[in-house]
Amino acid sequence: MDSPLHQFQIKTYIPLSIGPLDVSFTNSAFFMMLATGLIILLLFLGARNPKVIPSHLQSISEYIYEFIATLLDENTGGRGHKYLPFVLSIFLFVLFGNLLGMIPYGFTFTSQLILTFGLASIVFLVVIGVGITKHGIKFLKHFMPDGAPLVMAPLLIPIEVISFLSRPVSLSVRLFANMMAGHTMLKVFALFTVSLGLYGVSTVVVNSVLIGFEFLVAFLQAYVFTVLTCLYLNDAINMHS
Amino acid sequence: MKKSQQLKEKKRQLEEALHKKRVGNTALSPAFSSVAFRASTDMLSAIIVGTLLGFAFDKYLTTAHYGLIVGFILGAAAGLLTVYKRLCKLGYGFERIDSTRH
Repeated sequence: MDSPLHQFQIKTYIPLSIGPLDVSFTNSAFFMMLATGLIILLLFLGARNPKVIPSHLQSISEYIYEFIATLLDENTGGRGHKYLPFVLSIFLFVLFGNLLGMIPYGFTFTSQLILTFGLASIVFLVVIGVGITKHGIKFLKHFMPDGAPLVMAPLLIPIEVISFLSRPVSLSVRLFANMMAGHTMLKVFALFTVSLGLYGVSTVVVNSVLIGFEFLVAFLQAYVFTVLTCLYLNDAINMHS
Repeated sequence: MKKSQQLKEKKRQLEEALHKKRVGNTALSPAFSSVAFRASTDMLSAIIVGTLLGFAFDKYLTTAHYGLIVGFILGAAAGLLTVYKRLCKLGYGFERIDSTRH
């Protein structure tokens, strides 16, 4: 029987390389492209023929758009609305990544730490870029808490810098750990079902509940990733307010 | 004097109601366990980053292992700060403890 971690293995479909760099087309790349394609298809079909009484697809795409727009406006006080395409893309990519992993024989690319770290790093770099563009050198005031005595600066600044640098790590580890743990648990209970024979019915019931829970986690983790992106953007846009 | 005390009491009751609305009545609710998970990842990642920075500092300045120790301590402090800030936003800060003491 396969190990519960076998499902996270990267399989090469088309081996490719540019010099020493391995750029093979893998199962992870395939599901990322599939997720992107499905997102484009959903939004294209939803916005293609808009009506006053919307179709199902139009409703879904409008609901997602308004949900993220409200979330971003609430968290940034309306000043971060121009970053909506970025935040919406992040939300949809993570959500579709999580949901594609729930299809049998699917692959959860959000369970790969390097991918979640890549996404979190993009958010981190965008936040720094926005902060420096908006506030210039004053963005560095972020590392000195308001009202703190100047004598404390040598201690407080390194602590604040580490706290700031740990943001992409915590953002990526949270998504990766949730997706990996959930899918491993599903596989462990599925293996119990096989090995317990007739008594395996009990674990089927547990697994059914867990699958429902995993769908909740898929939505929740995409939401958490997006909320934190909005909060970090807010820190860069409205410093210390 | 009496009126200001009444106002303070009203303010405390209002804050209490808002706090309950935000985080639920019990500290062991599912919403709180999600907060606890977030807090644990924040704490862990700050310690990892602090320790790695300390390790890098040691490697380039050959100060082994002072950088590692200082980095770990600063990372732990940064983790606590992040967790405290997050809990303050949810209404679990010192202000809340002070308001419930009266």
